[in-house]
Amino acid sequence: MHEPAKPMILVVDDTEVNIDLMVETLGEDYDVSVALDGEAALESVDEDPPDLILLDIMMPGMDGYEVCERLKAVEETRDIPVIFVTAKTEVEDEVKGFKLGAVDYITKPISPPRVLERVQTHLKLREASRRLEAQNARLVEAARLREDVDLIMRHDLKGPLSSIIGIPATLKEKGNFDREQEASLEVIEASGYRLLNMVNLSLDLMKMERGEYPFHPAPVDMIDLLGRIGNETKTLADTKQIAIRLLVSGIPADERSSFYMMGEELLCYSMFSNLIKNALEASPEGAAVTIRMDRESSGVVRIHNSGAVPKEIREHFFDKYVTSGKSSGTGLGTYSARLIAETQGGQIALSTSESDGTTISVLLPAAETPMPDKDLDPDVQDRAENREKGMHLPELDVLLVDDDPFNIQVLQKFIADPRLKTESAENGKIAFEKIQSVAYDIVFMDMEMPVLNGVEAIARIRKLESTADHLQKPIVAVALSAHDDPAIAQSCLSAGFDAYLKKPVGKKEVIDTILRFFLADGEPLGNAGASVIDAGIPAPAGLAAASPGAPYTVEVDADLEELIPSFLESKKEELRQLKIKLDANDYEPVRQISHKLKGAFNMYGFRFLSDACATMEAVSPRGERVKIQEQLDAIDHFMENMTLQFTDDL
Amino acid sequence: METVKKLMMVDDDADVLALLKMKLEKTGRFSVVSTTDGSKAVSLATRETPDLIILDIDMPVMSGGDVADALSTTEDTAEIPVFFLSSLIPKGEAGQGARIVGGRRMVSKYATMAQLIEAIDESF
Repeated sequence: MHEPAKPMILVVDDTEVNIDLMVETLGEDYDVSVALDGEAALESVDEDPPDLILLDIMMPGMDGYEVCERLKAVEETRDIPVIFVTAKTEVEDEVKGFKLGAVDYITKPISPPRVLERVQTHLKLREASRRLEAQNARLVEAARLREDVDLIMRHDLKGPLSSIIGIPATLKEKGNFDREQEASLEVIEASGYRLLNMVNLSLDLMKMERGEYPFHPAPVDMIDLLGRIGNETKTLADTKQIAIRLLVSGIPADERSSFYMMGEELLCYSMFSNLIKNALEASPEGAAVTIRMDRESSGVVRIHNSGAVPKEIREHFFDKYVTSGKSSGTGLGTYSARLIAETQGGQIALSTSESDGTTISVLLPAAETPMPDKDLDPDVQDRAENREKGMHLPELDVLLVDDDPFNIQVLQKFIADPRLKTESAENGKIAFEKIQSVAYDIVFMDMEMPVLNGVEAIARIRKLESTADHLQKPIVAVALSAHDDPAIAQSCLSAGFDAYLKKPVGKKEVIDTILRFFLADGEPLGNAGASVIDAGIPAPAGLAAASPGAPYTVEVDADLEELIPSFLESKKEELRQLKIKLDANDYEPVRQISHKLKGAFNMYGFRFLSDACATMEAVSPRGERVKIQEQLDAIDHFMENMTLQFTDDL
Repeated sequence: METVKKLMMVDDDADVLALLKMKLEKTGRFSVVSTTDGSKAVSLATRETPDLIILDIDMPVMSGGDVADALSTTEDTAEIPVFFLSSLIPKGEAGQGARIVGGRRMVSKYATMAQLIEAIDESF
């Protein structure tokens, strides 16, 4: 067996006597190599990096300072400990050396025991810091893994939730249930919605923590909102005989009261719902919980109960995982309240004492009372008209594409109508094959599917339309996705979809979407009246000069012809993985996958794709989502339109 | 006739391995064994006793550097020459001869097949 390798020490000195002394001192315990000048030292470090360097300062040519400076400038050699050996003893020389990154000084004349002791010390230090680094890297990795799993899990929950929420409503419509059964169905539906809200909120909280939440403020009717929460918490309040009082500028709220703050209704709802429940739980029985709304420099809502927050958690009240008394408390309620208040440009504060009880103050920008005719949104009117037309639904061929059979079932129930002929496909590939022989009017397609996902499928379908005779008019394609990120909606639309629906979709949304595109005679309306984001994305970056649909020719080594199909399949799968990571804003795997793709595309001769991946690799450490998305669009566009030319000349 | 040299390649991308195996074996001078899993490199090398081992660097599970370390501290594999093949060397520097990393040669994935074969020949 091998003995553990001895640590390697590089001695740099222009005086042979000194070198001999060092080798004699250290030779027993260490593997010693020597360099007689600065250049030789750098070369030796490059070839075989030592564990420690003893560096003479005064040398002809490149001196010790410069050698040190150069070593510290390079990533690979930066961490090698350098001990200066010098006859100089002035303080400023020492300071200069330390500034350059040296770990220690040994003064001449050389004392062998001291050299041994210093070398030992610094090697031990270095070993310890290496271990710490490794440990730290492992911890970072573990934390990232946990976040990944969290995100994927939450995201994946949304799919099955579609069925839990969707099926009770369609069952109820069929009728034949007694009241108790109907009530049970409603409980299932309501629980599904509650779960969905929790999943959505936790996804949103994660985005807020990362500062990536897309905040779209609008005036929120606080009287209505707090009133609703009051109703929902009535059972809890009644059992403790607590009265909830709502005051606007000190006057009890009635139907004429008005109080608006700028925020997002759903965020305000979950924040105040949490805070009010907390107040009810903390309040003594028979007391009152008072909610005051006041307009000061901003809007303020103060929630007061007469209990006091325990001293030991006051300071950390809004921190993560702080909870008091409740064994079931997650400690996330007050933390998420703070996060939500701050995300909405507001503040949250606690004041508590045994004598005055507890007041939580939430400050949000005040909003003017919106004009009453705001409710008559033209879009809403359009939809009402469309529903009228629903009486005259056209006859349509509909294709439903989803890898989850339950989602297909739900969709089928939504559009159960003799005029709508539906077929289904379990992935993009099967859908594409069906479209090759049947001219469907409208396709509802899941985005996240195995084999061929939605974006890839639509690209193929759009290409097919330009050549296939049986497809006289463009198929209306509707993307279904669990993502609620506008950037993803945008990328679906730019990939060729006509509309984007967020999962879980409701029956009304599906019917409205069909009506939006079809008059009673079955002619597509186009995007008129559609509340969809405009699909006008420019040609992918880097391809601007090419005319749309023009084929890109890639010359591929004829030897590789057999390998190409599986190569392209696996690269598409890797690109799909990359998109998932990008959706999760997880940029390190994006970088890793880009790096891998860059190398493989290049070796197979796909230079354009390799360069695009190189760009993604370069910008992903800075999290430049837009640039990455541009490259992905360009890659998809290129791959869909490229033709391969196998040649022997390469 | 020259004996066929056995090369062992480790790369997390199976497509890269497939390409290299195809091109190198086509010369009639090499046979190629490979794995996409760095942690299996030592056992594969022990079993196959290749004449040369070529490692990718940026791999999940176990990086090329760690694989090289493991090979050099295992008695049966310590003497087998090793070099790195990585796209960490940018395109522009691909032709500028091999770099030395951790005492081992490193060839760019952007190098031509001729440059790669040259690097292989120089390693024996």
